[in-house]
Amino acid sequence: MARNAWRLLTGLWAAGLLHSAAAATVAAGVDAVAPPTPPAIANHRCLRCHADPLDKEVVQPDGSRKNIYMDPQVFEHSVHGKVACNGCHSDVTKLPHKKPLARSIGCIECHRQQRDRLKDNPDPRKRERLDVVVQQTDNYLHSAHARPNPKDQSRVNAACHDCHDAHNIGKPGELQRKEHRLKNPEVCGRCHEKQKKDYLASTHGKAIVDKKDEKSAVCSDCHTTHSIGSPKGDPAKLAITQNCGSCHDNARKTYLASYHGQVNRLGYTNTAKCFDCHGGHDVKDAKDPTSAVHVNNRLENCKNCHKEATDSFLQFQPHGDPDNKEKYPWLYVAKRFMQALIFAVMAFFWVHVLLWLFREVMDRIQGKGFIEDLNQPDVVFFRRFPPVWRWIHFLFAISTMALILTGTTLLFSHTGWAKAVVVFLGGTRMEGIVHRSAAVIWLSIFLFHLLIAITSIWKKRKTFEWFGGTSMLPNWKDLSDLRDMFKWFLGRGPRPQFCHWTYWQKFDYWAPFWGAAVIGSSGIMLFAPEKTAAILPGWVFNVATLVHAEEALLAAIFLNSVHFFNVHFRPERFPMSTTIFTGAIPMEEFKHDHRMEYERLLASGELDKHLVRRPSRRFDLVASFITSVLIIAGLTLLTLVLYGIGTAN
Amino acid sequence: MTKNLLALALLGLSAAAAARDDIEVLARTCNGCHGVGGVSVGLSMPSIGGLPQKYLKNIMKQWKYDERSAITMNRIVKGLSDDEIDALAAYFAKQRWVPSPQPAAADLLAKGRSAVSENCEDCHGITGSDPDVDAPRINGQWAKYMELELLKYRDGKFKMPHRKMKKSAQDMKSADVPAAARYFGAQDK
Repeated sequence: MARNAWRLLTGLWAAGLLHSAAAATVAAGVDAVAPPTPPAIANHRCLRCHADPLDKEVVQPDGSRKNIYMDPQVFEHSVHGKVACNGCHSDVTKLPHKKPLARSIGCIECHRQQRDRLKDNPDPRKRERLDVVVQQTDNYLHSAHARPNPKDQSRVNAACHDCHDAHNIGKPGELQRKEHRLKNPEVCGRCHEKQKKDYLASTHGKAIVDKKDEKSAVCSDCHTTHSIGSPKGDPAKLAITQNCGSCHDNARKTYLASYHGQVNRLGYTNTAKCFDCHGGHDVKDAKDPTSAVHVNNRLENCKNCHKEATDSFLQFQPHGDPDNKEKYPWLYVAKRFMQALIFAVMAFFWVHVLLWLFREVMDRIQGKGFIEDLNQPDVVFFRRFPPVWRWIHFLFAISTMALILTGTTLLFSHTGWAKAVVVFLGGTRMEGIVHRSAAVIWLSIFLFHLLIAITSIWKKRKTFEWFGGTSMLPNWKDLSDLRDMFKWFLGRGPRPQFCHWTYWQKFDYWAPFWGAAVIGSSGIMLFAPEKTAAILPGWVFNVATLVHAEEALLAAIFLNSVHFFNVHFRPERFPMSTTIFTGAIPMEEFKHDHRMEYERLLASGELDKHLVRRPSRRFDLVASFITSVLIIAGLTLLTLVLYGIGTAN
Repeated sequence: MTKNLLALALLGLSAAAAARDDIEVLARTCNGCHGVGGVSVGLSMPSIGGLPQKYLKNIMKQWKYDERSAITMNRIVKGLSDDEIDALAAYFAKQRWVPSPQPAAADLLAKGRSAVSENCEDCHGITGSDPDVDAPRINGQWAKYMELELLKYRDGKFKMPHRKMKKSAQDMKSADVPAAARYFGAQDK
């Protein structure tokens, strides 16, 4: 047993050595170590053999023929035209040279040396291009091409000279660049034969080959020139998707606004990417019957991911643009409606907040208004919320914040914070689970509260005043209160007196009904696309995605700014009110905020039933802690959301 | 069985020895001009022992098929079969290259070196001892022979199929031809 273990260890050690040796060999193959600079040999001497148009080939020892010809005129006009041949072919230290000649061309080290030589040059333009070249060589060293070839570990998958014709490299904008670009599929196709075949049949390939249209995409446009990774890896998939957008900018924009694109922009590849739908190398125009996105093939395409996709999926617009009125009128209308709603609500309530703040500050300066006497704190409290409502609010707040956090990471997938949050949560799949779990909690609470409210009203149905002071239903007094509040804000009247619920509290209460209807229904549609498409047309996904996001934004901004001000931040309450967690409001504060309710209860003799003792110190601390945490979390979310809106392009 | 195998092996060895003897006999016919082992002692007659097999084979076949001009060699090799040419080329290629350094004046050597470095070095090496894979060694080769060969390359009337050699020879100045030949002829190594 011990002997076997020893053999195993020895074997592992030997394997490690072999691996190190192989890695070292490969590194040498990619010229990680600079070869010593040989004495320069005049180029015309090399050209005697290598520029002979009548003798372009030599027979190698293995019998194969090798082209050794180099057009001297082409070379002279290349960026390397002034470089000695053996400056790159550094194995040649004398003529005649050894044959076959080892490929010891030190592209990487030579460019680094040239760049370092110009490091201190006061003219940055002299090294700008070399900086780019060195960056590209660094990218190359980390690419799949610089890894050992699986069939021959002594060489890399592709070295510089496999792709670059070093004798014919032009400066940016020169003719050689255009030629090299048009040759790109041919160069890559030397190794990637199947991909080349597919590419040549594609729209991109035909434009390059038939029309010589250099603007059409070549291999390096999608796969990058030097940072080439395995196409199976996420970085390559993300880079390719990103690179499609370099030319197809509008498609990129609309893709990134979709759920598919949002996940992709967060750095994950588990949703559809450009090439998943359009095809990769064999991408063709949608009108081409062989195109993957042709109307006859599209459903099959969708079914690659959505196994139970129905015909309705064909009505979904993956690149639906809500700003394109002609093409997507329903999406255009939905966006304008949601934007108008957000603008109207936020404009009204932010003005309300600012005026309220102004008035309370002015009153305080003048020594008026409700000022809590800290030397004689209230010992009698009014019980405003039973435990069930407190729990409901607590869970509602937690689930709402979880929904905002996980939902806005998609909406603002361009931000660093969104990416960090998704990584923290464990990826977009986990984020989806958290989001949907929070949605279930949110909706369950909403329905549970509805059940309690209806039951409660049913029990009091004979005496319940539907539009009375204790009802949440809006009434005419709310309108007059609103009017009087504005008068008070502007110093033109007294502060109105409220009953059990104020108009802003009613708005806070009823807003989730609208939210539940809009966000809930659209969320369910997006959660179960196949089932939704079984009964609804596919374009509802476009509308659902839009309204889900816009309504969520409205809620996120409203709750964490207006609601926070109304409840916690207005000077009378600052820094916070813990009533929603203690269930009790100080008597003096109750009298101030709900004077009519106080007087009604006093007159009816019911007030005593609602009076409780001041919450214990421990309970008060717990409530303060929870409130503080939620306020901080809410303000953080607000900041993140506003940052996301401000940085969206 | 073992005896039969031994007999077969001996028969094979003796056949190989006979073939080797045949080539040596044939090679002796070359000794008259090119010396024993291909080491010439004549001023205008080149040493051929130790030259590349491919070079020797090509040049003899070029003479045989009138692709290359010569005064006598084209007539001699016409009497050889292609197989004999191949065998002779292999035989002489296996011989040791023995330079025959011929002294020359220092100024002539300097002039020769300059011409060589400009026109000959890329294929034959600076001393002629380190040639390209298909080029012959010419260090210590007989200078008169080399001068005559260069003149043939320079003269358009002679059929000399090696284009690069022809171009290099024609690029040389007339005065450099004997100097280059004497320079190479003076080289020992």
